[in-house]
Amino acid sequence: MMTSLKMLHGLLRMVNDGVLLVGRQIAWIAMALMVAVIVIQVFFRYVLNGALPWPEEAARALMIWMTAVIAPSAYRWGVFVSIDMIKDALPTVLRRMLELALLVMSAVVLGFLLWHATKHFNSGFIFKSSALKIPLAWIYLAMPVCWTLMLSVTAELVVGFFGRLVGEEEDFPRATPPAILGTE
Amino acid sequence: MLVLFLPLFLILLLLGAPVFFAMLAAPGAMLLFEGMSRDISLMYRNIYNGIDSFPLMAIPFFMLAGELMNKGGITARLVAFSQTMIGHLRGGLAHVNILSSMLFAGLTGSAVADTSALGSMLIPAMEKNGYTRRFAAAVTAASSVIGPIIPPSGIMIIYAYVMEVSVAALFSGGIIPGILVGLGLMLVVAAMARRGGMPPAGPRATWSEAGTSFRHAILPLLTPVIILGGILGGVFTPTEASAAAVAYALFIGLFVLRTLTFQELPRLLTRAAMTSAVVLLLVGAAMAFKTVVSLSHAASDLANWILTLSENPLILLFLINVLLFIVGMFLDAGPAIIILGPILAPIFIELGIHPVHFAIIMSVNLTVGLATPPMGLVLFVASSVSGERVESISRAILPFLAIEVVVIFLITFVPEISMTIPRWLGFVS
Repeated sequence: MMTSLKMLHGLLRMVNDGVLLVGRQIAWIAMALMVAVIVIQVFFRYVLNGALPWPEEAARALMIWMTAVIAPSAYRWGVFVSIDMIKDALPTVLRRMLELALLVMSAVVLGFLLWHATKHFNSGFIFKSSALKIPLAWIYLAMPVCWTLMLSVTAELVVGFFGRLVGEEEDFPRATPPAILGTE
Repeated sequence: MLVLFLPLFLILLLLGAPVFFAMLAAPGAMLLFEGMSRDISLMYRNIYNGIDSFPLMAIPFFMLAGELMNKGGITARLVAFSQTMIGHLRGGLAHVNILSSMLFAGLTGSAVADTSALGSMLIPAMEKNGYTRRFAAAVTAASSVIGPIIPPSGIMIIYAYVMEVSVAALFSGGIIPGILVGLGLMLVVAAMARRGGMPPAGPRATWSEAGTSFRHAILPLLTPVIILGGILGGVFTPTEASAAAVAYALFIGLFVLRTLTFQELPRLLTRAAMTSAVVLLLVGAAMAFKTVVSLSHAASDLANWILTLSENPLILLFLINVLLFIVGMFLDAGPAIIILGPILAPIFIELGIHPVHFAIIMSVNLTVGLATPPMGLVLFVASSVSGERVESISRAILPFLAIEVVVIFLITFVPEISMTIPRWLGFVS
């Protein structure tokens, strides 16, 4: 029981470590492209006096993908804003129960989001975007990806929660952010 | 019954649910309970459409510009410039800290960035000059709230988007309030210095020193001119201006000052992307939340209840000041404005408060909350930057908070402070 929990947690950790790292790489590239695209637009609009039709749409698509692939990392490292004062003041047993309840609630919300996002994605093949002429579904796809990754993070958190409950703290390490989040 | 999503939301929030999930779970659960599952689809569409926005793109760009300027040595030049201007006054470095915050506020729109950038440089310098560390940390935290008040401002972009107000109007409305906060803080420092509580100041800078520091600071000092001049002059949209600010900061950092390297860029881009992604998801959730606020008539129910407290807008505004102040102690300004804007603004606009004026009241009020004990975010940042305990910074910051509260009241009850520049520039009639 204990070993299988540990293996499951290790597996989830490994998958999330890898996939979210790729996500962060895509996100910074998307951010760089967003800047480039809008700077090109500014140049064309104000210097050459003729705005291009595609940059704003491209930048919006990039921003949606950027958000979708990096938000799961933020969720995993606890960057999502919450008020922890009351929770932290509770006795251990109550706090643990509350933590589990909140994780389950997040999972349910994410499940709903994934279901609706998938429907939204499927509906996106009917229309093409106005400037880039690609099916909107390829932009909508970002959101099912985002919620799937966040569900995977939630799974890691839940397994880690039970693992720490029955086993040793150090067998179920929490994901810690690399130095990129620290203040200079 | 649907209106019960508000108390449910509050309970989830207090129990420690991440704001993003609480904003979706509470209204979603009530919609399911009421059998209105079709409206859940509507909620979902509004999350997506909420994020899919060109005006919102200013947020990642301004965050990135802040990261780049901070890394690119621009902060150091602003501090050196402030030092030659007012460093010779008694309590000089405290004044320098405040003036630097005001200048920095014109480059970025975040109090946290301000605290960590200026704090890591000025707190050790102040300590070396004989100030106590907790006083240095307190001045840094107190003055950092100017960051989101003087434009550009992250929370104002969010508010403008969620509440459909003009960003340019809000930006221009924040200028005088931000300067007032700065002057108020300087007044406190001057009063403390007169009572003899400050170490002696350095010598006055010579003209040639002043000239050199100005030459070094001129490029960064031009950033707000480009950003604000562009937006307020109607040349740029805020998003274009923020992209221009990024390009400008990159250009200065990489090629002029050469303090930035290409190797560092992925890290800075990742950081900016991550902080913005969290905000963008929150804005999406807020748009979904807002749909349910209007479906449930929560705002009008709440308005009726508030009007039973008093019908005098001035008294109600005072109560709102208190409420926002309390909320600001526990919640970051961005999420707070996202949650409370859709609920409170319609009530006060109905009572005859101008939307821009109300937006400024909310922004300043919640931003000052960032520096307010026990949970103010910048107190924690100041603590981690300085190594001083949050409790002792919290005590040292009290005189500064007192003057900031006075400024909040001035802004609340003298609309001209926020409205004169937007009117003058023609953003409001």
